[in-house]
Amino acid sequence: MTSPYVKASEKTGAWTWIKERASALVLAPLMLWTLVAGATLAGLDHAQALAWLAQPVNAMLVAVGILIGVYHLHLGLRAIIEDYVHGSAGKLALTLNLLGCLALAGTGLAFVILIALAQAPAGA
Amino acid sequence: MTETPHRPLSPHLQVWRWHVTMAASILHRVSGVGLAVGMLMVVAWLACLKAGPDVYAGFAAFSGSWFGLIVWIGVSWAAFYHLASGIRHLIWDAGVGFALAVANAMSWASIGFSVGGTAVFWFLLMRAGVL
Repeated sequence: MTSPYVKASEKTGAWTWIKERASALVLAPLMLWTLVAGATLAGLDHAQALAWLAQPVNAMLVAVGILIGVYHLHLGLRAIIEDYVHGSAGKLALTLNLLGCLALAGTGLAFVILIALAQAPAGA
Repeated sequence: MTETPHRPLSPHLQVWRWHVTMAASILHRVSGVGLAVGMLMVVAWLACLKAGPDVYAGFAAFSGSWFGLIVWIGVSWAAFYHLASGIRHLIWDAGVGFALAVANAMSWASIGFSVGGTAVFWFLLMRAGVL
């Protein structure tokens, strides 16, 4: 590597472009569902919200939304960082972006799974 | 005539004519960062749901407070805007919509959809008695 700072778009730009669009295509209908889900959950108490998440389709879509949403978020934040933060600060920001997104997705998925396990009927 | 007026340095932000496509592009990034806040809120919601009824009541109280409402209204606007603006980008990615009038119209439509969508969303929530 001759250049000290190389944008991702200069190395694997086409592939990054495809990843952004592919995740966007999945997220567009998911976002509509998320808005409906948010409006539904707004008026629910703890027990009702748990019952909502106990429906497999809801838990599945929350998990998929977190996974692909955070993936798309990482790509977007990386593009912004590469445009505005340069040098060693940029490298640090890119690392923090990756670690933060991994932590966010991991935490979110862990809670979905833990809640599902806690609610699973005995012997299931 | 003798005094030379202060001329703007170019390129400089103040001398650029404001385009709606430029505003829409900036808003796409702003709303993307707004959705990062939204994702944090979703994971916080899951954490409170796991923690139990007392913690969950605290999350609900925060969501209903004036600060919480500002956050949620902002996140909902970001969702509507990023969705519409993202579809605008996907249309461009398909290789169509580059005529100036069409590009401008799609940008205005994204902004209009986000404001209208957010307004309708919260109107329906209020009418349902959630707020």
